[in-house]
Amino acid sequence: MIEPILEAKNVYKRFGGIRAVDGCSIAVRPQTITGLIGPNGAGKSTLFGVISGLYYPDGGEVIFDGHRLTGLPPHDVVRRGLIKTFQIPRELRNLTVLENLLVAAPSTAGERLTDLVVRPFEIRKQLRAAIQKAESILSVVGLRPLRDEYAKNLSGGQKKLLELARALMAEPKMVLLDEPVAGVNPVLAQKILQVIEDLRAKGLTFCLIEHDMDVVMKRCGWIIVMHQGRTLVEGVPDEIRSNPVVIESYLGT
Amino acid sequence: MFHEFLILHLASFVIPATILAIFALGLNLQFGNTGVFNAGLAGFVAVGAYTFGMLTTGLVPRSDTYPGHWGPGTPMDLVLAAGAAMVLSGLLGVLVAIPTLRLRADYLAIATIAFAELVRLFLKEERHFTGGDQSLPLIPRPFAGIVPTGLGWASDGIFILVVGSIALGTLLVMTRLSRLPWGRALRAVREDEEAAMALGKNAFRLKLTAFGIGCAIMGLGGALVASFQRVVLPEQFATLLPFNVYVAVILGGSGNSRGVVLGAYLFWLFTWTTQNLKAYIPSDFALRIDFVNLLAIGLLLILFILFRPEGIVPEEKYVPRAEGSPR
Repeated sequence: MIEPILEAKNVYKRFGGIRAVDGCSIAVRPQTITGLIGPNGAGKSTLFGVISGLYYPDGGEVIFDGHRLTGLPPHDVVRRGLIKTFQIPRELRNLTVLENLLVAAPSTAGERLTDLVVRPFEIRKQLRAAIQKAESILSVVGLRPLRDEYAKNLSGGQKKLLELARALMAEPKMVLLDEPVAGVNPVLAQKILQVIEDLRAKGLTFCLIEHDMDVVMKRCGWIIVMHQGRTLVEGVPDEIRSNPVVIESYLGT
Repeated sequence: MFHEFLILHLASFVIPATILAIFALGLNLQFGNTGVFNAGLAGFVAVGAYTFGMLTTGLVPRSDTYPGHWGPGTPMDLVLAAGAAMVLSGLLGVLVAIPTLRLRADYLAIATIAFAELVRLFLKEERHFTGGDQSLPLIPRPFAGIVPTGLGWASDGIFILVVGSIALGTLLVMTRLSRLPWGRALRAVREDEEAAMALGKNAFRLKLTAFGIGCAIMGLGGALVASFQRVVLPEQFATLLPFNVYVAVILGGSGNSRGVVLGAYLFWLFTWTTQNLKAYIPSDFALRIDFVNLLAIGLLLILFILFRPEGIVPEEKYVPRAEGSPR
């Protein structure tokens, strides 16, 4: 048994009277694409929010890569190598596509004002390196021609690509993708999924929320089904597809 | 003596406009770059003005008729006093920001206005400490040893140079800061705080630093106001001041340091012109011209927000020249 890279143990998160996540535990093994599925309101996005530090959990703990993440603010979680994309793209509208990526670059010189004194000559050098890296990522996702466009002018699908590109810029070990291809045309969707698969082959780990069962069954090596804030079942795609409980509560016939 | 008339007249335009530009640069860092709505600007300006005034006059409580104020006893060097004004305003900014920056924009505005009122009332009521409504007089101007105070035009001329170089320096620093990755992180926070956090930015610390630096610049501007007027009163730091500075920032181009400086000069050109017109128009109308001025500025502000929200000089677009070579 391979040690999981990400483990959420017995996580609780309530919003008012709603128990969005209600004692949920998941484990994601490294270098996999793990699918997180379940009906609307099952708590998938909230669980992502708790894992990435955007929500403070009411209980439970999150372990990533041997470190306890529970209660850490989002920027510290990102520094540990775990990043999340948003379901509805949250592009930085009045920044260019390139700048959207540069913002995500980890610990660039010049990001703290003390760098002006401590390492003034690093600023230009590291910025140049970051731009080169951003350009190569933009090439991978096919946004290179739009490098200097304001992010607000991109199409919906392009914004999804930008979300992914930005996450990659942070040099993560693992990416949480919240519906990376929802609302994207089939051709572009296949391209995004291919990029994800290629990156997995290079060593990244992905956990994705997705409602398109074709995508999930085809691309994910492991599937976790959530229902009413908890894990219902988990397994390889074939087991999930034929599981009567899953069929009843989610897949339908 | 024509040159005397010219310099005095020029000073009445250039000096207030340049000080307004310095306020606008401070506010632009907070509002234009970071999206933090500071409505309590006047409070930080007042702290700067009074800190400078009290340190440079060095008076102590004297009599029952004039309560005086608490100073260090001996007048302090002007540069040191201006530095102290900046530090104190900046620190107060950070202190105010720690509990309030987590608030939503409108609540932050209310909290900062409350702070400014608190400062104003403190300056007004604590007469034994600040001089209160009887003002804080005899604040020195720079190079007073070279230029006798009797020569208004010469003193004003020197002051133009001093305030001009300080404003230029501030402009250069602000431009440099906003082009740093730090400045980009601020803009990321302005665009979408939660997204910036999810990309690894410590949004709270960024906002706190920007707010503190912005308040320090406002404190510096306050020190210049005190030195220029040579006397300060609590009432001049009422709530109208931030309105003027916001107009300058929005007209000039929120987010662009050079733009907001231009906005400050244009704003003051307009106000100064209407003030100077008073002497040449029938007295019935002269009484009303201040209101006409306010109306016109309000209208201009609405038109800009509707039709050109980016201002006269929009925020710079970051486009590195060739592949992988930043500017």
